[in-house]
Amino acid sequence: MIQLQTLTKQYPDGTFAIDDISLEIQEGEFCVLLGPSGAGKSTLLKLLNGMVTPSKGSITINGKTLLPKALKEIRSIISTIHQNFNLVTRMSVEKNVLAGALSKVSLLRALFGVFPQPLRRKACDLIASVGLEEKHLYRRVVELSGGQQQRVGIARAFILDPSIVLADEPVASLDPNISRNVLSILRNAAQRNNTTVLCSLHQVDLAKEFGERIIGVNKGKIVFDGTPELLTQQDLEKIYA
Amino acid sequence: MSKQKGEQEQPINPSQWKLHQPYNAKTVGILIVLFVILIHTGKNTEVPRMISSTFEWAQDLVGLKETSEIGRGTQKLAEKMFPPVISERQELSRIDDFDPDNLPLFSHVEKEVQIYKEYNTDTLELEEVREEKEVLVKRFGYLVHVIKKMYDSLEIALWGTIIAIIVSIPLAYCSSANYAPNKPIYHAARAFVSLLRAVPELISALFLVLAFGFGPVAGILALGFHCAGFFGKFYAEDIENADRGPQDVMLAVNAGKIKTLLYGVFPQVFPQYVAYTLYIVDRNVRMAIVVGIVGAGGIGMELKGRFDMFDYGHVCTILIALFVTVFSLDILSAKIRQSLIKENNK
Repeated sequence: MIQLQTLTKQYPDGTFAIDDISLEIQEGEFCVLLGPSGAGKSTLLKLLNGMVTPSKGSITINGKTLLPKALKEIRSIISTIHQNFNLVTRMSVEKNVLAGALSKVSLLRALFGVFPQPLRRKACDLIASVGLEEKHLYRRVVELSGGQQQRVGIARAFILDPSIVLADEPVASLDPNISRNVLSILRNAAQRNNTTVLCSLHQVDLAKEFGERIIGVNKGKIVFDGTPELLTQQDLEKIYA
Repeated sequence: MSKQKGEQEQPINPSQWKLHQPYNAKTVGILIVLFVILIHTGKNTEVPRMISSTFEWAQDLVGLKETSEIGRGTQKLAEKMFPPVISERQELSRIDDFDPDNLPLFSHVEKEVQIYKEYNTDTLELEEVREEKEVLVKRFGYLVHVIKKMYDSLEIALWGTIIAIIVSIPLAYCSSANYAPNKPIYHAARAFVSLLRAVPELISALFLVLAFGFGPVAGILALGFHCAGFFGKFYAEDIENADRGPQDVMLAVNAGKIKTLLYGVFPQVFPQYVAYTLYIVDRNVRMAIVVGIVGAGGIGMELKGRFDMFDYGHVCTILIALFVTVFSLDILSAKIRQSLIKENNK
């Protein structure tokens, strides 16, 4: 479970990226953070994996408060998926997925690129589960389409069976059909592993279609929190005001 | 831009516009200072003599002048250098266990008359002495010797590059702002990288020859340390400029700095690293010859020795071998670089 209490992030120039947010997300929930560009969605996700430190308030994940001391432990249960995939494009699909499990591989093995066989098998299963085939395994990521690259990103995110997946605009650079496909792959993977997903989106139709819960964010504040069915035109106007 | 209220429209008159002068007083001042510097330094470095001698030589070449200092010098040198020496002659009396029935490949024995002057103690005069000697002529003996020495230089260049890579890896790690363990180590590493680059290999070879003695070790270390400075700088800059995205993902899953460097940075910068390495190998081959001149092994030592003994025919052979090697390597490294670019643009 994720708990945010009076969370605030103020940048040195005085801007409030996150402004006094309190929130609770249950285990296994597929939450969509909906909001326009600059609303604070990415900052919120960065706060959750410790890449950005809050100015005020606290974050508790599975009962542990996110402090520098606990960062390593908390990061081991969190994975991230990014808008621009953040894959090493010259590296093969297999190596990119395995790179998500580097923390579990000894330095010597990493140095010589010899990953344990069970981990490699797991990578194959994940690659297959996101709809890629054996022929893709040793292809460089740069040779894949945008949608295929994001599927590799999803496979990488699930390699260590994370409890929480943070997806920052995972389909922003993809066309609508491929976006649906990628999001359904993400949702299925999350359901299979009972993973909590916090996914930021700016497309309302996709948020309604895939989110079990929608959290509307505008100017660093939560302006809507509820199921897709409860999201009205008025709420959307507040979110995109 | 919107105009303020009450402001009256002025008629545009381009003939009233102020035009800048193409050269102002500052430009003229800089040009005068540059001219004075050129005159002063040119006089110190005998540039006028260089111009007049070259001009005289050019007149000589096109037949406007009968002779010139440079023309005479080059002609003499050309006469001594050509034809290049490729054979090797060795007196039979100086060869241990010589077997006339088992001669080396492409060799034969011939008689050679040597004429030299000897002081006659009875007549107190210098007398010409003719002495007939048998010599073993190896037709391609000297050429083979030059190829062997050239191979030694290539080995020095190769090992110099390997040492440079080994030394530069920890230096690049410590001198890249985003991976250095802390600020003092970062500044120390950067200063050390600059120091390595600042000392030319010829100078370090001079000292290393004193420390390690004549031979390839001094050459390898001189090239290795100097190029480690280059690699350290280039590698560190590439690490700093690599895409942060994949690195952030790996750091976020506790991969640690070294593993992130291996998987998040190295694959990104690999083509540039290969390109630098090829350039340094190419450069080290040429520099291995130069450091050889101060006694650090390879063909450079042979070149210096033959030059000092005025064996210009041998020098010519060495220069041809150098040209062929450097040119071949240039073609080879260009091909590897091209294939890398193709691979990268796939």
